[in-house]
Amino acid sequence: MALDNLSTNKGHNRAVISVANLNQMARRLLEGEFPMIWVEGEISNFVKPSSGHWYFTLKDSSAQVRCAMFRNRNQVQKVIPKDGLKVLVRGKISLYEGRGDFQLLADTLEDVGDGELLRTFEELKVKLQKEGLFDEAKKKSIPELPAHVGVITSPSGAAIQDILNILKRRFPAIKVSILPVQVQGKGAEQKIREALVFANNYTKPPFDVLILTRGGGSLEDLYPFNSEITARAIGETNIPIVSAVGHESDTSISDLAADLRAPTPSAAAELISPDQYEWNYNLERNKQRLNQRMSIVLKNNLAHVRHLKKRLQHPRQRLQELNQRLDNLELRLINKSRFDETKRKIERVQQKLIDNINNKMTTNNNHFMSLANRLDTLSPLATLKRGYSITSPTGERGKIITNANNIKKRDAIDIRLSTGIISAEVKKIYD
Amino acid sequence: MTKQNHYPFEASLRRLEELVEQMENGELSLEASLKTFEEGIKLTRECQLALKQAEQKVSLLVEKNGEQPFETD
Repeated sequence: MALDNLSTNKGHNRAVISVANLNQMARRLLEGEFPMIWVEGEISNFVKPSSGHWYFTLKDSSAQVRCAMFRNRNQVQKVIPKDGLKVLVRGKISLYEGRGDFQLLADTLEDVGDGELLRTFEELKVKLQKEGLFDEAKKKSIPELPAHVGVITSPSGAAIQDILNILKRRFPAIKVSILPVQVQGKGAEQKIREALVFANNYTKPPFDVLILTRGGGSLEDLYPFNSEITARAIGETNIPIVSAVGHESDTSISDLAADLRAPTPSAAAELISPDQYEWNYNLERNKQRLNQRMSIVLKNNLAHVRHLKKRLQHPRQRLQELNQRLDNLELRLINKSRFDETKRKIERVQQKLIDNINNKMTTNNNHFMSLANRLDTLSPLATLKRGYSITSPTGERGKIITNANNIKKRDAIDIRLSTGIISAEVKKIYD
Repeated sequence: MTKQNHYPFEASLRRLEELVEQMENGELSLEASLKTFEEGIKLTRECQLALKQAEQKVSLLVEKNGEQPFETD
């Protein structure tokens, strides 16, 4: 039911609502109308029942209001309420419907005294920032693996135990030296400064990194880490410094002045130490790479040697080849000389033959000439020259008529004389 | 401890990485490869052993009294 509906219903048409409805509507109105607000007052009637929620009354000289702070919110508060404490409460206005109590649902509590500290903190922060004390360029880098770590903190606090546990787990080989200091209260900032100077000059062995730390606390507790003295001492130290002060949400002046800020002491220990498992993994990987490379080098060299060995065998074969060739040439040489000899022999024989034939020819020619001469003397031609003649039947010149009985009357005959032939006819035959 | 042990791990690991790179990039001779390999493996063993055997050493440094052992849990 809406409020405007209620206001129009008047007279005998009045609408009646339950108390529960009334309180519910009032609560919605209050919660809707008021933004998140800050209220200043003094705490009284503070109770903390087993539920874990906080209940108290906030009052000033003339008024008071009920306040509730639920467990999920009060767990993150730095200020622990107590009766009489002046505080600033941030919260929403609401109404507890069961009792009809108007109340403030607190979200954040601040000690009024802290307001002063906060102002000082902010002023100092601005001043040092202007001076360049927080400049990024001034920040020293944190070594990858420090050999010697100095922890400036309370030796009895939880912070040092957290740091030692983390370092032991991550990299036990890192040497840790604790520079015990008072971390809160009057003069603590001087002790911190002295520890920083001491660490800066320490050489047995020198520090590779420093952790300046303390656990959570009130703004007042944290004051030494927000002081100008601490900030300047950090700035004058030559060793890289990791600062881890208070809870994760706090940022102190020393965090800003340090080379690296860690949200918690444990985180600081993690930031400065490598993980030994990672290192072991790296070592193992490098070893594998070495092994791989080595086996490749060996394989390549072996292959090269094998190749060379193969090539080394060649000369023997070549020697054999050359030998063979030599043999071959020798044979050919021998053959050639034999051939030449034969050729010469043949030529000699040929010459002899030619000579022989020529001789024979000459001889034969002479013989022939003598024979021809003799023949000439025996030839009928010579007889014919002396006046004889040869008679043959006509047409049969090879046939010589030596007997008159071999021819008949009227036969045609040829009579060969020394010069010329007479053709005649047989007239008469005489015995 | 000796000077060499001031940065035992960091220097060793850096050297080891250098050796691996030399092996992987350079055209090392067989002899040089073997030397590099030997040194690398030796470094690896030393580092692994040192990591395995490392025990946390914690001491309390007090300006006047010097170094004192610190009891840890």
